Formats: sequence, C-alpha cells, structure tokens
Amino acid sequence: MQEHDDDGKVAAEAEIASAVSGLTTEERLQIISWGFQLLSIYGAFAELRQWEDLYQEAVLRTYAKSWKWRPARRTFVEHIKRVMWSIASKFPDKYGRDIQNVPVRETELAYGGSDEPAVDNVLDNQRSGAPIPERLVYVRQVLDRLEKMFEDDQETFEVLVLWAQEKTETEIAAETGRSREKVHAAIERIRYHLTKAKKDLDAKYDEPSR
Amino acid sequence: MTNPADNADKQLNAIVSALSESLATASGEQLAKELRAAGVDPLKAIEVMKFAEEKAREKHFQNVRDRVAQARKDSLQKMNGVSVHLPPTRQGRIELLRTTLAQHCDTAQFREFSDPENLSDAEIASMLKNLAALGCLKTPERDGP
Repeated sequence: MQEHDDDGKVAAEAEIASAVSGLTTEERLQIISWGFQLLSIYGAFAELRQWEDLYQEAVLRTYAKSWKWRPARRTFVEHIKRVMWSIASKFPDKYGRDIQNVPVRETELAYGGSDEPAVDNVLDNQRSGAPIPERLVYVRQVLDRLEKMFEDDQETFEVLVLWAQEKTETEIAAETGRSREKVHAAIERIRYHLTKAKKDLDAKYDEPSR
Repeated sequence: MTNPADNADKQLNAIVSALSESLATASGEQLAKELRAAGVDPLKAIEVMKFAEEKAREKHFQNVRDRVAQARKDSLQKMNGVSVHLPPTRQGRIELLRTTLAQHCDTAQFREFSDPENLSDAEIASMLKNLAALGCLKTPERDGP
C-alpha cells in the first residue's frame, strides 16, 4: 500500500528531508519573503528573532512531528508557511527569547493521533480559555502598526483595508475602481515595505550603542 | 454578539492570508527583486536557509538520540530498581519461571528457551527480575501485610 493513499498520512523523515532538499529557488524565495513579512507584522517577536530562526524551528517541528505534514493535504511550502505563521503569531512576550518555548497553536491537535480532523485555519485553534483582553490588545496593536505603515499611501492602504475584509485582488479592483495592475502594484508595495521594515529594524539593532 | 477579539483576529488573519496568497502567486524573479530592493541578498539568504535546514535536521536527530538514551537509562533503572518477592527455593523459582514463560511464550526473547533446570540460580533470579520489570511476572500472594 502506498504511504499516502490515505489523505491523513503523515510524512516520514525521509519524505521531509526530500521535500526540504527539493525546494526550488522560487519556493525558497517565497519562504524567505514570508519569514521577513511575518516578523515585520508580529513586531514584538521580530525584535528578538530572525526569519531563519523561524524557518529552522518550523522545519525542526515538522521533523519532530509536533506539527505534522500531510503531503496529500498540502504542499511542503504551504505547510512550512503555516507553521512559521503560527509560531510568529503567538504572543511573544510570554515565552521569552527562546523560540522553542513558543508553542504552535495546532500542537495539541497534532499530537492527537492519526485520526484527528484537518485544521485549515491556524487562528481558529486558539483555545476557548485564552485571555481575551490580552489577545485583543495584541492583535489591535498589530493591526494599528500595519495601518500606520501604509497610511501615507492611499492605494496601498485601501488594499490593506479590503484585504482585512477578505476581498480578493479582483474584488478590490472592482470596489476601488482601479485597474488590476494598480492593485497588483499596491500589493507588491505592501510586501516590499514589510520586508524592508524588518531589515531596517535589524539594522537599528546592529548599530553600536553610543 | 460578535467578540471584538475574534473580529480583530479575523481581520489580521485575512490580511496575512492574502499576503501568503500574493507570495504564492509571485514569480521568483519578482520576489528576488523585492528582496534586493529591501536590502536582502537573495543568494546569501538561500545559503542561510540551507544552513538552517541542516541545523534543524541535526537538532532533530540529536533530540531523537537523547530520547532513546533517556529511555534506555530509565528502563535500566527500572530493571535494577525492581523489587520482587521470589519463591525461596530453587524449585519454586523454576516453577514460577515455567508458568510465566508459558503465559508469555510469544516473547521472542524466550522462544528458544526450553529447560529452566539447566540455568544457574543467578540466571533464574535475573530472568524473573527482568520479567517482573516487564510486568510479566505474577508472584504468589504473601500471607498478611
């Protein structure tokens, strides 16, 4: 019987190693950009970590199966991006400087055996007993920081606001009356600014103290 | 009533999802251009990434080795620390061994084993102790506390 006849089969170490070594340059660039952007979005965490730490931890957790990769359900790149997102989005201050202290939201489910249901949205897994006020403040801070980052560029700001309403690129173009190209360019500017914001933050920390 | 935290979460979730989606559809050339524009050397970053992969793999196997070593240590400690009330006579111990092996004859370790009479007293005691540590041994009830 093939390993992945069943939708729920978890990748073995050899498959994970093969997927890692088989990443294309394009996929690698996607993951690198993703790491920069996550750390830029989840700012407090970004001051402590680098994108490669986030990636390394995601790969380690995949090998350890504390976050199980099921190849029939999603590609390795999609999987790794989800794990990186989940780690970065955890409340950073509670867990200190060590990235390994940051739990992955899906972890409890991932340990639940091979029959657990698929979880499609990592942010749905916040336990019901989570401290809501603390979470609200944190998420609000992240949203405010994002809004401030783009408030001087109206086109980009609009894209961000409509993204928050789950609008697609096509829907945004229709709603704002702008061309698809303009919307696309605004999206590229968001990605560029987020990557640059993290890079600038690193440069600030690298400066010798006076 | 809508929970404000859920709403904020939902908005942030939607933004990050859209970003992820936009990355998935961008070309490698475009991503490299964006990284360079932000001051990141894509080739160097890929090297760093490969190094991180190697570190993750090494760390994983180190963790596995550590877990196996710890399990072995725990199991040895359990074996050494097990306290068994064995029958006082050699014959009693042989009978206990026979009974236990008959009940657990599927245990590969004892499949070829046939005659406990040929074993030394120390070997019999050791086997019974190991069986006790494995939870296979049922020693006779003691009389009283």
